[in-house]
Amino acid sequence: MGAVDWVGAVVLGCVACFTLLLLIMPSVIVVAISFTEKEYIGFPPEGFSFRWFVELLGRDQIIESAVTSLRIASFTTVFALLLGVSAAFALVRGRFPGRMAVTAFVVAPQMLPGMVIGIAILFFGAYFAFYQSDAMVIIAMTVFCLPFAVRLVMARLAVLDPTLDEASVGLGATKSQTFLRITMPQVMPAVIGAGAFVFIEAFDNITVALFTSSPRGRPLSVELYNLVQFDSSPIVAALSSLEILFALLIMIVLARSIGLDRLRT
Amino acid sequence: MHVQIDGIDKWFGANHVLRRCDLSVEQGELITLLGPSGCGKTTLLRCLAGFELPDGGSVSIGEDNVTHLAPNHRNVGFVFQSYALFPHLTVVENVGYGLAVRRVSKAKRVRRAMETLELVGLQQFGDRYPARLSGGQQQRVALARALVLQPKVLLLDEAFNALDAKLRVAMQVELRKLVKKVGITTICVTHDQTEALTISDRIAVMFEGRIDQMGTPSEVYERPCTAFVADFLGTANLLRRRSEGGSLEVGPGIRISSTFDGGVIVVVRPEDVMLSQPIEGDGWGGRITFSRLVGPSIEFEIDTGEDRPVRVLSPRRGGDRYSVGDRVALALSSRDACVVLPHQEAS
Repeated sequence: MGAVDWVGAVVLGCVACFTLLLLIMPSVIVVAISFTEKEYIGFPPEGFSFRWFVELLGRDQIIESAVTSLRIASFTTVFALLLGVSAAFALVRGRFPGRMAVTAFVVAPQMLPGMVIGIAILFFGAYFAFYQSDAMVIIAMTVFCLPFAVRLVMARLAVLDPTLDEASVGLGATKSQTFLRITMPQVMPAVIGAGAFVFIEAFDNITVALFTSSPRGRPLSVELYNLVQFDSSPIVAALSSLEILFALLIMIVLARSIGLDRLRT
Repeated sequence: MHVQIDGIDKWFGANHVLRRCDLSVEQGELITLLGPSGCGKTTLLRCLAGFELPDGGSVSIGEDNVTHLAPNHRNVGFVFQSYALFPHLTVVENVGYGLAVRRVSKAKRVRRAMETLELVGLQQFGDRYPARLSGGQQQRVALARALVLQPKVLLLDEAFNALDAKLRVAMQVELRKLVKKVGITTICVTHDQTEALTISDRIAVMFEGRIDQMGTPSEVYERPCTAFVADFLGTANLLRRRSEGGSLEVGPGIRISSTFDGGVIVVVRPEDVMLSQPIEGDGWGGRITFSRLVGPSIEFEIDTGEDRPVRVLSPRRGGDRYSVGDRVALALSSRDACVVLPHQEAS
C-alpha cells in the first residue's frame, strides 16, 4: 500500500465516521433528553428519571393515537402486500402488452411527495362524499407504500430461475403445489422485508396522514406533530424514543428471522 | 419405454424451429440429438417433456399419445442444463420432491430418495443444500431426482455443459453405465460431437429444424448422408465434383461410383487419405502447405490446385517423412469416400 493510498484510507475513514455521527446524533440526543427530570427540553439533560415515560402512558389521547397508528399500519401492510405481491408476479412473469407502462404506473407514487398523494386522495374522496377517516388513511397509505412492496418482490422474482418452476411441474407437481412449495419459499424473504418496511412507513408517516386522517382519531405521527406545536415538554422526546425502540425491535426481529443481507436486492 | 415422434412442427412466431421431425426410440435405447445451437434439438426435447406444445404432429410414449398432455402427467424425467435444483431444499428433499407432491409418506420417500442417492453414489450428502455441492454432484442429484420416480423416459438437456472437460468425460461414461443398468429409455441433447459419439446407441443429427440423419455413431461418422452431417461430426474434406453416368473422378485416376448425377460433394475423412512419394505421370497429389503434430498423428494440408486444400491425417510414424514444401501423391480406397448432394438440393 502506497503513502497516497494510506492517506486516502484515513480521509475516507474520517468522512465515514463523521457522516455516521451526523446520522445517529439526533436520535441519541432525543433519547437522552427523554430521560430528563426537568420540565423543559434541554441538552445535555439534567438528572435522570422515567417521569416523562410515565406521564406519556397516562395520556389517553396518545395511547389512542398509538392504537390508531397500529391499526392503520397493520391494514396497510396487509393490503400493500396482497396487491404488491400479486402485481410483482404479473409484472415479472406475465407477458401482456403495456407491461412496462403498468410497471411505471404502479411504481410512480414513490416519485410523488406524500403530501400530493394525501391531498389528491382527500379531494377525490370528497367528490364521493367520502371524508377523512382511518379508512382514508389506509387507502392513501397503501397507494403510497405499494411501490416499496412491488419493487422489493419484483427484484427477488427477477433473479429467480424460472426453470425451477418447470422442474417442479416436470416432477409431477401441479401449478399451485409449485407456487406454494417452490416459488413462495424463495420469494418469502422479500415479502417479509417489504412487510416490515411498509409497516414502519405506514406507522410513522405524517405527510400522507396529515391530510387524510380524521381529527377525532389522529394517528401517532399527527398527534406528535400537534404536541410539538403546542407543548414543548420532554414528553415529545419520550414518545420519539419509544418510536425509535419500536423500529429497532422490528429490524432486530427481521434480522433474526431472515437475515438483513437477504433484503439487499 | 418406446418413444415415437411423428411429423412434429413447431413455430416460434415467424420462426419455423421444427420441420416435420420424425423419431423412433426403442425401449432402453440411449439416443442423442446432436446439432449446432438453434437447430431445434432442445425444442424437440421440450416437446417430449410437455414444456412446449407442438403445432403439428404427435408424440407417443409407450402406448399413450401424450401430444397434448400436461408435463406433470407425463412421468418423464427431465435433467436441465442448469440442473434446476431447488436451493431451499436439502439433497434428500430435492430427490424426494416428486414423491412429496404425490403425497407419499415422509418415511417412505426418505427411504426411496436415499436408495436412489446410493445409486448415484451420493448417499452421504443427503443433508446438504445444493449450493454446497460441486457441479458433478449437483448433476447426480438432478439425475437421482428424475430417476426416483421411475419415469418412462429420461431426458437430458445439455447436462454435461457446466462441467469441466475431464469431469465431463467421466460423467458421460458414468451416465451411460447408469442408464444401461436401470434400463431406462434415454434421450440426450448436445452440441458436442464427442459426447454424442461417447454415450449414444444412436445419434440423430439435427440441422435447421430437421433430423438430417439417424444412425449408430459409426454409421453417421462413416456414412454421413449430408454434407452438414459430415462436416459437423469430426473433420471432413468436402470435395465438389460432377458425377456422370453413375461414377465420378475424385482425382486423376481415382474413380468412385455414385448414385446421384450432376453436382455432388464427395466426403473424405482426413484419416482415410494415404500419402506417398509422387510417381511419374499426373496422379492425384499436390504440395504440402502446412503440417502440425496432433498427438499420435500428423495433420497435413495439401494444395491440389482446388480452392480449398485437402486435409490428411497420417500416423506419426511414417508421416514424419514428409514436410512442408514436399510434393506428395494422394491415394484413397473407394469404400472410404462417400457421395452426398450439396446442401441446397438436400433440402
